[in-house]
Amino acid sequence: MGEREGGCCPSMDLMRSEPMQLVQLIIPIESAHLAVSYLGDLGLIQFKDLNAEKSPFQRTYAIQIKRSGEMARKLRFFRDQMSKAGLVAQVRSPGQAIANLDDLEVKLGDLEAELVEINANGEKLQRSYNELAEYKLVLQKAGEFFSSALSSAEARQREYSSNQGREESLEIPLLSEQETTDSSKQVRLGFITGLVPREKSMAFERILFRATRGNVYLKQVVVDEPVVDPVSGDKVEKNVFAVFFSGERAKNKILKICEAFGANRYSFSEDGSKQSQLITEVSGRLSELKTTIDAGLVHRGNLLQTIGEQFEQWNLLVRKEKAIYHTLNMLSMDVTKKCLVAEGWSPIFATKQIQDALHRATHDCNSQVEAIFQMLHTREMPPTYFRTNKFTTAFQEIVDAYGVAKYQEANPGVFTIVTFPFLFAVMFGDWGHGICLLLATLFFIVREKKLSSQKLGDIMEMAFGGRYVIVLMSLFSIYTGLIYNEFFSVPFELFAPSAYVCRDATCSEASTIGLIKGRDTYPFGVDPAWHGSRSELPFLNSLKMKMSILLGVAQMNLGIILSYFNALFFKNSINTWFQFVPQMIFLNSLFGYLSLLIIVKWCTGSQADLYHVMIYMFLSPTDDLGENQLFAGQKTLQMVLLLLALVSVPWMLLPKPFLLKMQHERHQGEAYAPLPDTEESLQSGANHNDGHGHGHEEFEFSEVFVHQLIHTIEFVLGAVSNTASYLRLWALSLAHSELSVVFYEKVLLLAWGYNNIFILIIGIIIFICATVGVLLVMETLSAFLHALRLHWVEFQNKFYEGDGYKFYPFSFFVLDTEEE
Amino acid sequence: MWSTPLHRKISPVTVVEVKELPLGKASEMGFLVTTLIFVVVGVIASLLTRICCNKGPSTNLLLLTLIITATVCCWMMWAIVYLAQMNPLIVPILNEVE
Repeated sequence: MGEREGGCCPSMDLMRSEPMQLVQLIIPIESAHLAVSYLGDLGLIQFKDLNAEKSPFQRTYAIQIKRSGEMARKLRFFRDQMSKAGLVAQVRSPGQAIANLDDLEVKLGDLEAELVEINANGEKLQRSYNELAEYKLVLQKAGEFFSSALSSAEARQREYSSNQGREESLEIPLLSEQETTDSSKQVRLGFITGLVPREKSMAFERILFRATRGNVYLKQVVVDEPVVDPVSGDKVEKNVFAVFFSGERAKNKILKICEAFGANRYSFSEDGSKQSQLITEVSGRLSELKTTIDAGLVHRGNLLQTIGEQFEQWNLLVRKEKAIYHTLNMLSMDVTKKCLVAEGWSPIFATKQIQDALHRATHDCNSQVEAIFQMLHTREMPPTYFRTNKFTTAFQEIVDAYGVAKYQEANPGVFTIVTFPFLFAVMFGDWGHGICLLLATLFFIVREKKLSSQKLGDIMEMAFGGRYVIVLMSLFSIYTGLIYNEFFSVPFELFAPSAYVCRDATCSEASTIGLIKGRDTYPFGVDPAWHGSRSELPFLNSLKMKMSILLGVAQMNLGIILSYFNALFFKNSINTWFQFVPQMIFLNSLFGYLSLLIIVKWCTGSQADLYHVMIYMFLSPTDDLGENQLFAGQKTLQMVLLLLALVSVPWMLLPKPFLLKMQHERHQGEAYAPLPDTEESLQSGANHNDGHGHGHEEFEFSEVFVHQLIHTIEFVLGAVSNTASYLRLWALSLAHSELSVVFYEKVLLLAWGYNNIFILIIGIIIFICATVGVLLVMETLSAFLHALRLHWVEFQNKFYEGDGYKFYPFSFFVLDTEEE
Repeated sequence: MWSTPLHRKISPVTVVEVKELPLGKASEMGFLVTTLIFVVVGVIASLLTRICCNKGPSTNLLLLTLIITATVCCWMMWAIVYLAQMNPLIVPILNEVE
């Protein structure tokens, strides 16, 4: 399975996935931890889970995993506390490192306990501080209220007594009696003071009134600034209230209502001197508490600061540790309980590095026994691993998003690097827009180092990840923009004067029968004379439609040729002769021929109707072509091509299933005849626990035949529909150029025409917004998606199986980059 | 073709004398010359990558493939547009000037 040179061709980066091997490591238990840690640093081996049947709790290192999970929890707690305190963990300070995990565990435990205690104390202090603050408010507000009430009562008393003095003679007996009864009642009046949240105050008042049937007197005073609620710790707007009531039952009711409304009650004395004494006392305690709380906060800040200095380091250490034990849990214990056996995939080029890592681990542990490294033979499909760099990664991800390549099959990513941005640019051809896009991405690339370390938003992240794709896209857009001769939809005579000239000096016929070609063909791109002319659209449509077909046929041919390279690489001559050859013939005898006709028509300037030619090639191939004849012998050629196309369909369909059947029978005859039972049992025994080792699958002829039938139908129909699908290149590029013309003429030129600076400025602003929003963002997205589809469907279905699985090595680097 | 002899007779003061055959030849020459330029640019680019970043045969092959693909794509695009304008069936008809 491992040989590099499968077929003919010299190896090319990225074309084939790395050759892999299944390796077995036998590591003595004492050096296992270190060995796995070194392998994680190396990051080139993907361990297989050999204990898949065991639950996480039954595994060998379940306890250690629990321990590191606990430490991770503590670290998360620290992180929360730090973010609450507004501290940011510093990026890896080179302080003294705690290498030992046990020490770290103890330290984390201590720190957590300390922090929890500080928090609890702080909370308690804060709460009593808030309570006191509220109390103080009540004392002040209620005090004011009482004193004003008292003074007004006194005033009334005075008034009353003066009145009384005047009208003594008349009403003494009656009033004095009344007064005495009043005063006796007033003695039994109780009151409660406290604070109630302002939004509930109305309801509070109403409920109080109803519950006591109106036998209360409630007085509320608005507190201007929001008050910190002692229970929740939030800032709430509150009212100070005082309720006057009579009787024990009313008191109980009021107390309950207070509780229900979250109104905090505070005792209050009527005595003025006592009040002022209380206020001073409370103020004193408040300032005392304040200093205590501040001291606590400073202490906590210092503690968090020291944690923050080493947080990243600890975090990394703990995560590494967890990953190591997680990996160790996937290894199986040797019967002697002295060794751990690991199995995993690794690229062949990494063999030396892995052996080195194992050797170092043994050496550093002073272990007596070396770890053993050996290759295993298997029929299992190895994982797919492409060594990509920061430039090729994004392109490979475009391919992988459709399906991960089968092990060592030809990778469409190689050609996608160029053809993807190119097809994008065919739809996005405008060199003004291309330059805008280029500048935007250059910003990403110049600040690459800075941006890659920080977190970006979703969309920014995506644009940043694909920055090299976008650079190529914009470069090709500039190129195709030059070809289409469009700069924000304005043409320029950059390369030569236009080939079209007036027919005479007066140019009278320019708007009736048009200009005439008077010079050499415009050397690079579309002639500027076309722009804005009445025949612009017919010309561009015909040009872009034909271009789409030519580009499409070329790309589909490339796809089929890649299937040939696959057949060559896997030494599958059946696929070469009964898939590649007939497919090539079928596609080219129909659409290759169409491309040929297009080119011949352009070169000769013939007026033949190509639709007619193509349609009658099928309907009546023997008829004379008449005026639609483009070259001599066209009829004969068409008949030959049609015949070839017809022959190639059964050629694709029939031989392959029968040949596969024959091959299978021959194979079975050789391998299985002598000892079918024992060999099978031996093989499955030798091939470890997986069922994949069983190489001789059942051969179901009908299934293979149906599969081939579907494949053939798909190809034949696909040849037509895929070619038609490439017409999206035409449609999208037409849409793009028309939109930019509309924005330029209907916004910018219109605004210019008013000769008014304000209208011009508004016009420019609208033009910029429309260009950025619609053309640079939306059109980019839609052209991107269409280019994506053309690659995934039209290009890749010609050769790409995409049923492999990705190589996920055990690596600390990945651990480092991924944030939970 | 639009350029019938009749029209040519009416327009004796054309800026450039319209001649069918030499024009076609010149266009073919233009096609070949520009194609040659594309080839030269492609070769120079592949030589440059070979000189600047020579990182082993397999990487070089990848770079070569990329350059060839890019050159072919660009050339195709240009060639299609050029061919389409070589023998035009329709000519630009200007809008009436308002």
